[in-house]
Amino acid sequence: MIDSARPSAPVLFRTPTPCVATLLSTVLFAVTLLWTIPLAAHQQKEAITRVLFNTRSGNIEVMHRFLLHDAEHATRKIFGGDVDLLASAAARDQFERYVHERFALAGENGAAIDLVPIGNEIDGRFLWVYAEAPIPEGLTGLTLSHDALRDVWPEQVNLVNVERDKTVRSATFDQGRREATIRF
Amino acid sequence: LDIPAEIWRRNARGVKKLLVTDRELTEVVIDPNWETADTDVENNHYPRRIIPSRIEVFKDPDRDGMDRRDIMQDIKTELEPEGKE
Repeated sequence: MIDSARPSAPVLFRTPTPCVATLLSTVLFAVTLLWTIPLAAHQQKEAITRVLFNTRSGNIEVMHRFLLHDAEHATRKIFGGDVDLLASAAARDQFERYVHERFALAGENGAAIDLVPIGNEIDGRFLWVYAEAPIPEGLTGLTLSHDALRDVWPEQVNLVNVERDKTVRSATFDQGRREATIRF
Repeated sequence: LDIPAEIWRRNARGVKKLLVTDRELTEVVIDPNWETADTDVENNHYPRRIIPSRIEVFKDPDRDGMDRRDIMQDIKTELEPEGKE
């Protein structure tokens, strides 16, 4: 029976009943949860490299730090197979060679600085790759390029921090950036 | 000796702490467990201590001990059967 003294609102603007509201909020929460779960398993696509002018050893020391999760995914994509970087030293060496081929240093005059691979190790959730070269005489600047993992993921960001005489200068390789020059 | 962070309240560049003791001071270490966001740890020791770089540590032939233990690999260790000596 319709109560004519009480205006009836259109169906569109009626507030949902409590049980419907509870159901809607539960569904919305579940959808939000499902939306965020895949993000936790994604690669971070970030790497940090420290280029240190070590006056004690007389060497330029290059220390690349990759997330082990990223490195493993990339190695599987590049070389195929079911790669386990944690268990396989050969796989880590393969990744080290890959990184070595995609990182380059040169003097400001363009003279290449030949880096010698030192090795690699896993430290917690990171994979470190090491290389070094003697510090050239009269070096006034560095030209760097860092393309590791950028051929796997275009959105990979590689940050390089160059430390010399307690001063840090940084270069970020992302998007289409191929080279950076740092002057001392 | 734990010093509260408030010591930096009046001067963010440098602070002083007076220690009164009748014993000879032989060594001072600031932040021994690297708990602060210190960008230069080479000036945290008196007398001065050389802090090796990661590559220097990696190349050190005497490097050993629990620091190199990989507990994630330890779970794959095959246990010897009971009773085997």
